[in-house]
Amino acid sequence: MNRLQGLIIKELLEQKLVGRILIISLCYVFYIVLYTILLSIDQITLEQLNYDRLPKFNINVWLVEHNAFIWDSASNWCLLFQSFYTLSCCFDERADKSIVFWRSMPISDTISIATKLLVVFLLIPIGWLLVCSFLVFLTFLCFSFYTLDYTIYLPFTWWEVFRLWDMLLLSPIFLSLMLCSSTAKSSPAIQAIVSFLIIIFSELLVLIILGRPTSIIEVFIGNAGFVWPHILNFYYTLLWEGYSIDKLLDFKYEFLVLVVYNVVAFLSLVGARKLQA
Amino acid sequence: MSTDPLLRLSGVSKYYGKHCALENITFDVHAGQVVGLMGHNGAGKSTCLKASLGLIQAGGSIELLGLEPLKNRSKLLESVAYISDISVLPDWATTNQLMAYMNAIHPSFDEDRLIRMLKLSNVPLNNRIKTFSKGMVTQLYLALILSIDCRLLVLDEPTLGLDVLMKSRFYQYLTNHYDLNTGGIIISSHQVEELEDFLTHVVILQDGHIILKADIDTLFKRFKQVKIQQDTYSDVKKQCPSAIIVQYHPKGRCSIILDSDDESTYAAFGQLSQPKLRDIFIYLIKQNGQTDTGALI
Repeated sequence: MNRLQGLIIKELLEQKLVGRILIISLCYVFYIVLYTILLSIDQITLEQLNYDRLPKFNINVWLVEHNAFIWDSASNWCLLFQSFYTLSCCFDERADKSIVFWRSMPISDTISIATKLLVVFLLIPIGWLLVCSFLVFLTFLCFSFYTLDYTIYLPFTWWEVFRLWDMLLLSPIFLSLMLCSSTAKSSPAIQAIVSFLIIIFSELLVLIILGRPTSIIEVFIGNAGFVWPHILNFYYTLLWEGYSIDKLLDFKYEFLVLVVYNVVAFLSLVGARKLQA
Repeated sequence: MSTDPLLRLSGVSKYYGKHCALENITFDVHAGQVVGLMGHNGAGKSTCLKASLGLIQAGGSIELLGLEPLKNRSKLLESVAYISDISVLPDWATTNQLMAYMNAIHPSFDEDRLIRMLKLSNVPLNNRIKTFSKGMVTQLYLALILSIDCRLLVLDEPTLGLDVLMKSRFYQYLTNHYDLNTGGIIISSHQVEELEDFLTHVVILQDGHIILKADIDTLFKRFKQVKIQQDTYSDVKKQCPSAIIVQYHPKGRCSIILDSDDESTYAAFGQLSQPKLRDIFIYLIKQNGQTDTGALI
């Protein structure tokens, strides 16, 4: 085992990542199955409740029809999981004081933080994708046994769910959550929520000072304000509507801000770790 | 053996805002030495050790194995082992997991040595640390650290929270397994009595300042203790202004400590004896910081 493997295994064990991925994947599959069943019930009339006349469930048709739903959901659940990890990865070490032990080892703070980011951006998505793919496959294989249709079509687009480009766009969010994890005194999640509320209320306050009073809801949904609407527009346009060269060029300054923020946040994370002596 | 010190602090100072945590700290640690860094709570012991290891920034000059620790922390920690409170071991890990981790990331870690040491202990390999007794955690932490081929062992209040038996076992384990011929030890504690038989040198801090640094033999030669009646203390004090009460005994008796090599000067006060390190420590703290009101510290 080399250094990198040692550091990654430490993260996996400390955050119980394997078990947590498995549990949350099972929840996700349960969610998909529930969705499937509810959708099927909706389509079955009372006459069709006779087993012989029940339309056989066709896994391939279903997968093709709901491919986007299945893997968009997978992507969202993965984001949730990554957020949980980023919120706890630095805080847990501080809470149980083990950071003193880890920092007494010959590993620089930069490498320690970089390893955590590697877990967030690469290992969790890959682990999540593998476990979810396997569980979804297994679940629908069971459906196939029931309906005696054994051919299963695996849509190619499954693998496009965890695009590195999306990860880059979302990196400021993960780094911000890690900063909360590095600095929170009692609850990183509460600190993250409070930080977000401070941004929203600051926008509102500035608007009021400038004589443009509005409601907090308007600021929250991005209809008023200075920074927050830009952030919402940036993410809505690129993540929701998809990419194009023109759009990317429109957001060149936002990308510059994103890169600068990531660098500052990374250095702050390293600095915060140095202060945990 | 090289005469270069393992650790050299010259004029080290550290301020937290206006509060002075360390002021002009200067001392060396050489191979073969066991240096006790002693002081009351808040004297600056931990700050001094953390600055020595590059864990915090401080003014002045610090050289650890010839390098500046702040810039070379991770490289230096390959040759310097550090134990703070034993409760910092991750309680979710098992002994085997920690062994695998150390093996992967520490270039100076000797796995065979650890296995040999663990065989002599009752530390389980596959159980989580959270299921261990404090004694087992102590043994495991020491075994892990002593399995590193280190040139300097830095111990910061390592026995905090341990009972007397565990403290004794800790120092016994350390003595049996650490090779002082090639390395040195610096240990901080405010529990002076437990260090007495273990140290070769002493540095005593008070409010961030060094009030004494000496080798242990010189220290014991310099100070003498004598038991007197409390009502004669004022007479003794007149003849010997350095005398300070360090202990009270039944029947109106007390122990005073005198700071002098010249035993004949004070022989008249009573039977001179060798003071304990603890009493010398109390004497120095009282002499430098507190007036002798007769109250125990």
